[in-house]
Amino acid sequence: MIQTKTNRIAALQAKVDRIAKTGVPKDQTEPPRVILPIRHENTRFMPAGLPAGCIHELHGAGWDAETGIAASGFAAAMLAKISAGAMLWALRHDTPYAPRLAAFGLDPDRLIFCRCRDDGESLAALEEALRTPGIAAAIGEVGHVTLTQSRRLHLICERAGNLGVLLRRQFHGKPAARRKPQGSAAATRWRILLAPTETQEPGLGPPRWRLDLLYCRGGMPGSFLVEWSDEARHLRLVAKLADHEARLEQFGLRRAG
Amino acid sequence: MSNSDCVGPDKPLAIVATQGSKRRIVAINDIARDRGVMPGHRLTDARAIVPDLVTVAADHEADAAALVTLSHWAQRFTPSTAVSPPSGLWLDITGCTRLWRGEQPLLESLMHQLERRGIPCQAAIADTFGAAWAFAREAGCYTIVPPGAHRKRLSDLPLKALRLEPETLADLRRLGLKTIGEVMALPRAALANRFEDVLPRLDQTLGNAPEAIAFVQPPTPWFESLTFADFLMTPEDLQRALAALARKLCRRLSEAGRGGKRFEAGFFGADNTVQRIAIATSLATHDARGITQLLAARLERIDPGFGIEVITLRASRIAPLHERQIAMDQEQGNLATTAPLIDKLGNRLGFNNVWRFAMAQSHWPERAVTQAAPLARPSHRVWENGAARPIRLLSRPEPIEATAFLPDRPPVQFRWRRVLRRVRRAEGPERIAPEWWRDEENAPQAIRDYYCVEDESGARFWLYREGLYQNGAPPPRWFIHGFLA
Repeated sequence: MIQTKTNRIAALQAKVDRIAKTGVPKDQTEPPRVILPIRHENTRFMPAGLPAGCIHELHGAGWDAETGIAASGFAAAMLAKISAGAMLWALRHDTPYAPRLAAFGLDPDRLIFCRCRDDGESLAALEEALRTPGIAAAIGEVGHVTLTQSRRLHLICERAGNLGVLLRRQFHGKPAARRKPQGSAAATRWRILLAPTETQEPGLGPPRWRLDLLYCRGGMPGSFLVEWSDEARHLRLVAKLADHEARLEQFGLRRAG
Repeated sequence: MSNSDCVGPDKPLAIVATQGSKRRIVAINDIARDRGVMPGHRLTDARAIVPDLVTVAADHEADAAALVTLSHWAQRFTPSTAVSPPSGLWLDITGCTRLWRGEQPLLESLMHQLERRGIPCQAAIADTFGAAWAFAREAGCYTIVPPGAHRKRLSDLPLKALRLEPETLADLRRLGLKTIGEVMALPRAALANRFEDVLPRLDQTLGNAPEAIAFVQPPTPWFESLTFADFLMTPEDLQRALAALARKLCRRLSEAGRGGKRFEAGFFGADNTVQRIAIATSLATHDARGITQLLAARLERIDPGFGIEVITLRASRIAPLHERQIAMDQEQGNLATTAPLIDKLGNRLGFNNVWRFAMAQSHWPERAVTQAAPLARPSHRVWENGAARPIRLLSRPEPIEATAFLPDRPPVQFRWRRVLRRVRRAEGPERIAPEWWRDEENAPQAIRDYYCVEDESGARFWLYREGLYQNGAPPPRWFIHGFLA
């Protein structure tokens, strides 16, 4: 009798764990990971790159929160690391420019675009895409996402093992932009800021972003200053006020959020 | 098509139209007919015969509208229906008799359903539109002329079955000609000389000349319908019925090695309304489940009202299926497996809102990228110039107020959308001229000098100066065209 009770409690506990999904359950195999386009293996922050089977949120900041320029670049660099499968990009107003996507290593032939009128359509398109077998990743530009919506997307991703990206933009003049931000089921949440070039040479240096990892499930938040290299097609960490690659130990950990 | 509801079936009723200065009877009900009134009588004569005759003024517009409604109603038998004013309908039943297992059951069902709605009718099935028209009007209640037999049987019909002008008809009658057979026996040259509309009509009726009729939709064999004794009310029932129809249609499509690219479902309500939903697919398909899913997503637009009596499903665009296999061979990255997704998105957002990039042979930034169908063959070409191009291009360049110290220098500051931005770093210019075969006259003004600039916050913009500085000409204008990342 006692034995069965313990069994049942254990089963229930397992169920609770499964539902709560606090970290990856021990008995499950690790979900496939998308190697983060950062060359240094950042073991302290991200065990082995971005896990697939999850959704990830990319935010802009300040002026760029509306246009999502830096976030689009980061998304392109991230999606380029997925080697096979088609991808869907659910757009709102303006479209990314194909030659530049190609320069990020993302073959424009693999991308399917759809233009959506509101958050509802973007999220629905994202959901349909993530349910489709041939789709390796789907990225949706949305203004406001509720916890329920992001959980739904997360569960679909988890089942299908593909990568969902929410590119959060603040669409001005839309009622959604003024709504209170809600929690999210995203595995990681990034804020990408455009950072000024700091070389002594004339002209524009390589694109430089400050990546704030605001939240990372099972990992630590952090902040990185990175540069995109068009030749090597990867992001490299740079130290502030210096033009050389920083070693990770020197790179200060900063808690955010 | 008299509306006798307002009078009651026990009163003699006549519909009266004014023809010239006379008022004539154009239609009557059975009681009036029994008491001796005939269409064509003058109203005064009719009143003398039946003093208590109830008359209603003819409303030709309402009749025409009712006829159009009836033609839509009749689409439950075949998608291809057309009106034949003032009171006729044409149905092209090519390929649709299979659903009723023969022509006779179809005709009986059609007449039965019309009579149940209080519409008395005569009908005929024949090889040609003209012959069907003639037999329906002049050969009694219903006629089915077997294939090839219409020529022989037409000769006994009166001349007015030929759809001739009233004047021609009167002339022929004056010559003592009464039946179509008598006219057919006449030498053609004489007929053509004296009556210009007799020979074309005769040839059309016999099937020797083509006839153009404005059908609502072309006839198709890819048509299925289901009739329900108990009217369907719930969306679940409708969806089940759609699934059954899709299975039937898709089985036939797959046997023929074909697929549909556009499907239309028609819902015929008990209140004689017709509602339709249509979906399109990017690849030809005979996947019944996929079609049902796409149609079911639109079912919310259907209002069952008093119930749905008949549901039809039609594949209105057909393509051979091997198109799909070619596409699969060409694709990398399983693009063809994404067809169901593209169909869902296309039907929800519109197919012009789902696309893939295609490269165009142009160095002009707006024209270098075009949109292609999502399942079009990929170009597999190398996209060039990517490093110095923006991540997002404005669909239309926006004018900015820029300050540049020297003609060929980047601006030191510019104002875009009322925000002043100081340029901290810049690269350029990259001169892009329009192709020589476009805009020949104003080519020097259309030259663009592009600069990549970075402001103090690190934001990068793609600006250009349109035109060159020239003596006497207004200074060139500046535009913002995109954002770099």
